[in-house]
Amino acid sequence: MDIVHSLLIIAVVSICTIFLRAVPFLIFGGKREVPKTVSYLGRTLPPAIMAVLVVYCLKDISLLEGNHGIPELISVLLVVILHSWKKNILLSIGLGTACYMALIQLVF
Amino acid sequence: MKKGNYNYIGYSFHKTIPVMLGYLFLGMAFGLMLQNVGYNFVWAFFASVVIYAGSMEFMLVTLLSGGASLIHSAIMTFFINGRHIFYGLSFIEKYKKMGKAYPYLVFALTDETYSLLCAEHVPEGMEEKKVFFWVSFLDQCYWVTGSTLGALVGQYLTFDSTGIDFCMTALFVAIVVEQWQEKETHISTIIGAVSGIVFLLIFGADSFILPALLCAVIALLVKGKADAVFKI
Repeated sequence: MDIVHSLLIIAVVSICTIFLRAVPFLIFGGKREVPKTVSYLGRTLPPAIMAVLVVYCLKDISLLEGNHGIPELISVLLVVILHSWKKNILLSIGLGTACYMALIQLVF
Repeated sequence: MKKGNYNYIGYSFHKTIPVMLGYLFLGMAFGLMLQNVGYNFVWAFFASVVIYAGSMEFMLVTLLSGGASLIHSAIMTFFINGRHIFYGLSFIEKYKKMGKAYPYLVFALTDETYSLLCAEHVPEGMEEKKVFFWVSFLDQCYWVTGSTLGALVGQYLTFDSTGIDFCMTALFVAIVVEQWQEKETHISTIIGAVSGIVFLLIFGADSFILPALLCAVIALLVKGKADAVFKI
């Protein structure tokens, strides 16, 4: 293990990550007013990002092999139903996760 | 610590419990992986303090163990964390008023913190900037704690935690459900879901997220223009 090189890798990854998170603030965060288009995106983009993140979490499911993504499907549905009904985020996440763990450890 | 901060910590702790579960376990998985390739808990702690980006840190294990070049490390980071460019767009106006916490809030904007903060409606009488700070900071504490613990004791754990990472998926799904309550943003959710699925099918699991987000941005811009044109 090359300690200096390892530290440099960590530094590079850290700086690049910080830079990526800072980009919108570097461009639009100054004294100037934020352009209308950007504040429009700021308002409308979050639901789209969350939907993409859900797809991102489920990206490794294979519909044709293994368990066909059935545990994921059931657990996601459970979260949707629980959360539309009770609107309690801890309950939705807790039961959804417990359901998923039980399904993949015991059933599939 | 000034008096009065306790309320904020308590409130933020409650809000961050879902992320705590996920970060502790995922952090432990990361710490254990790092330990397995010869980097002890000091490395795990240090990496999680200065990097703080879940999926990227799993890639970091590969980069470190393979002695990757710095250029390669930078390219991988841009590839995996590129999506974060879009997160700040929603917080530009807000974060400008955050004072001293501003740089840290930008640094700590992970997927999970972003989603909690998007869904956050700060109660009357509480200062938004303090809630935002504590939510961001607590989340990082969970991640750092998990990583360090994983490297220290991960190998002695016998509890079968397979599937616990689903709590992050569940968090995102629950927030999509919450956002769905507001009719005006239905179209945005649909755009995100369709573009996510389409680009996943085209580009595959490893490289779909950036094109999907870009496409969502373009679709929303087009929709905004069309709305402006057809407004009566």
